[in-house]
Amino acid sequence: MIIDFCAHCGYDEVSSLSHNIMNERFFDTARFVELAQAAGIERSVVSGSENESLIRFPTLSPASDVAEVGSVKGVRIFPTYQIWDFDGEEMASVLAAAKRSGLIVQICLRLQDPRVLVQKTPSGEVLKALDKLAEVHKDVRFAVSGANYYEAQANSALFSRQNVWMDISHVQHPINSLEKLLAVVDAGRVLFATNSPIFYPKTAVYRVIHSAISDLNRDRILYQNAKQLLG
Amino acid sequence: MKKPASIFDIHVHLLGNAQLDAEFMAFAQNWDMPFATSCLGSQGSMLAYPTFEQCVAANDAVLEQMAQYPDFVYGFCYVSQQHESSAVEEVRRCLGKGMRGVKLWVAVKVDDPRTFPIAEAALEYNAPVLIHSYLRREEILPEESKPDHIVALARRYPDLPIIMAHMALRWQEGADAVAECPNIYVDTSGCDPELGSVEYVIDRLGVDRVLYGSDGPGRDVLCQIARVMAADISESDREKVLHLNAKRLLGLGGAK
Repeated sequence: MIIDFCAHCGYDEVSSLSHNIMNERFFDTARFVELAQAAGIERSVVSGSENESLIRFPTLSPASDVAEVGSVKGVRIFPTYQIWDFDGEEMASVLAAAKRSGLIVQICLRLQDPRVLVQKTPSGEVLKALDKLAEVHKDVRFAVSGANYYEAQANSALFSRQNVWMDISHVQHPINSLEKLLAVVDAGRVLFATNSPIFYPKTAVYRVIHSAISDLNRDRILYQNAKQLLG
Repeated sequence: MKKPASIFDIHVHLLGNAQLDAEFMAFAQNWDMPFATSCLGSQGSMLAYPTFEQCVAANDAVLEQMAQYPDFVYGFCYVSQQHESSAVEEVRRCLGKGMRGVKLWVAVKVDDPRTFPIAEAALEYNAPVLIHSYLRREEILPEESKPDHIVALARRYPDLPIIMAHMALRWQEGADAVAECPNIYVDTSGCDPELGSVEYVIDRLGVDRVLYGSDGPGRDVLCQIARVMAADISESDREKVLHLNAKRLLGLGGAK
């Protein structure tokens, strides 16, 4: 079993900013599911759609009303592409809802290489702000998507927090990056993610299968950690 | 999701970083993956505007690695067009010692006339020229070559094989720009594994002009291989991209 903790399916005003011409085809739910299944992925966390294989984390903008998200397990924000003040009222209402309903707050840093899709706020700044937030709000679970190995290494305090998880969708530098990541982030808080359909979903599966990590950690990353986090 | 039977990495860098260089060599040996490599600075840093002496030292490091791993490591000579006639002599020195190609990075755009004598020296040896190209949204390197600069060079030297590295980052625009130049190849290295990228460049350029590359060890080689393994292409096309095209281009009939 494989659970993809960050993919994109259905309309989402932020993820549709990406410049990959293939996207339009696969934001369609049926095509997305077909693509995921061909990669061996059984369940995917996405923002714009929901069915037996898709777990919906609706995307919130700073203007969104978190009270309108309905019954979901998490919400997604893009603080590198939309300006979020982590000390502001909008974030306070997201955190309050997260505490009230046990929502996972997914922080998505990258859809594409910043040289292709420019970030309004650099990932590093967001991670520093998140570190303070995660320290204060220990009862909120944060899942970081799109960080790379060097950012994990530079923000080791953040990624050692028990309420912070990290996915591997953009862990692509340097050689043996997954093995290196596990030296700085506990394998129990590393999540499998593809960033599909912007990226090929099969590439993420392939690299986990062929990385020099233990079978125990492989299983944790591919599904156990996500299963536990999602309850 | 098996390992490919044969693979050749056309775009590798000897970094002068002992740990990363050793990790790359271990990976390449484990995957039985011969490779083409250049060194952009032999002290662990990549030098965008190297001195001539730094280029010579970097190339000497590659020659040393070639001698240590014959029939497995194939060198590309790194020069800067800023060094004009000295750069040409360095190309001749390195190709004469068995290097297989020339690497140009970001010191001078490749449509600059200072590139022409280097291209002519490469042509003397029928050696391909590997040219870095990134189509960035925000310019940070004023002399970084874009696909249009590479097209200008390719049209001036239609018999010179040119490899446009990284599919120019924005692969759709990169492939569209060079599609009409049959002597321009692209490598898949050094960019994210975006869905449809391999299929698109094959469709626009033809499979014979697409080469697997990693840009390792700075990039995770496994992720770069995975992109080609994930692409929705025929197995015969995958073999061409993974190793046959590179071996043909470098004249490596006897390579593993």
